[in-house]
Amino acid sequence: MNKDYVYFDQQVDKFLRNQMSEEEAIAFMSELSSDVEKKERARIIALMIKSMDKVGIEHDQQIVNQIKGLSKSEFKKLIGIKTTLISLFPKAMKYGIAACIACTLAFGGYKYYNYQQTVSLGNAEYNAYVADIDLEGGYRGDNANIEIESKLRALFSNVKNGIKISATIKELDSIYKEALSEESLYNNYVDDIAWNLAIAYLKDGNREKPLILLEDMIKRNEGYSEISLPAKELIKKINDL
Amino acid sequence: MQTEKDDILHNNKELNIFFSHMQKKSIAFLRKNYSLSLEAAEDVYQDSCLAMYENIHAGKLVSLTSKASTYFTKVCMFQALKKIRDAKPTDSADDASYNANKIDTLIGLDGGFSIGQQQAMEKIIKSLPTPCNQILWAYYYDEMSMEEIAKIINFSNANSVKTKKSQCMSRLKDNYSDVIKELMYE
Repeated sequence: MNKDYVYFDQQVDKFLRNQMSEEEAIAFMSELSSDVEKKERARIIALMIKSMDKVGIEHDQQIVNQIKGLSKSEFKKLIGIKTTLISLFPKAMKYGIAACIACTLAFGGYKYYNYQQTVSLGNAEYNAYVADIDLEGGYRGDNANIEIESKLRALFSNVKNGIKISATIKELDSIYKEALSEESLYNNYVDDIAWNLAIAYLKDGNREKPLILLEDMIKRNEGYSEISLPAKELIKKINDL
Repeated sequence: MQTEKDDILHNNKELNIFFSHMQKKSIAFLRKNYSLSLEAAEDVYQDSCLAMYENIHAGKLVSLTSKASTYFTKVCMFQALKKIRDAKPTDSADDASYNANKIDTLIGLDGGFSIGQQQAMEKIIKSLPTPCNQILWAYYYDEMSMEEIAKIINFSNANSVKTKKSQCMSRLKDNYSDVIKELMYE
């Protein structure tokens, strides 16, 4: 029964809002005259609306009183009005700067901790991979190039001891790019260079570049666990930081 | 975590409902009658809110003589005219409002209502139970859409509100009939 009234109430609404055509209105009134229940319901809806108009003023007065009880800023917050930048600028600037400083301190502190962790890892892991170049002397095989090995030894020493790291990185990076070519004299030492360069980057606080270098080491040495294993382990340690 | 804005909204729920409704209604009205862009209509709405606030605090509006929504719409019209010099608003601020003549037509069937019966209705609508009070007042007095009401009172959709409204109306009718019967036997 109530389902009928859902539609009927809509019809009453339409009639009261003067949204029916003349024919529709005539048909509606005819329906009311033949159905006592519907007529009574329609009358009560109309009486309710008229009563609400009268009583509603009191209800609306509460709206006015509530507005009166709010400060302008509270009212603006309620309405969702954005306050102007100009009037707030000095205040916003002050709070903005304070926030920036706080963030910098917080984030700066975090960055420094991160850096320390990265450097420590570089220091700890240098000896995880044993280069063929023995820092005490000696050189690799028949194809050894003494001059190159001396140069590399000096650079690797810088990496081990954390000396002139930026300059060492720059030089090793240049050498590494050369070493990737099979025709290069540095090619025999490509993994030694990659490892030292990775460690140098770590000691410089850089985590991204070592990962690339170590991944390349693994790709080049899939069958050689002596080289690939330390590289994999260091990747894991970097990622765990 | 309760923010300051949450507190303001919670303590001024009716106010929030009123302005939530008026925002949508006003912007639609301003765009239709003054050909304002959405942004311009939003500006006019906000200016109107502040103007209403200023009027109340300056003592220019102490007690309402019309509906708050009608008053606010008039403020919007004034603010819109300030923005557009040659705007020509329509005569009716709200084309879909209830027609007083049609209301009287239905009331007049079977000879109208006595003062006692009118007072009984006034008493009933002041003490409707939740959510009927929210739905019936929002729909018939504040003239909100079913969708708006569904959002405000957390109903799942407009159809749920429509069904509940009809049930509330049936309860009100039964309640009214009982009250009138008691009046007859007094």
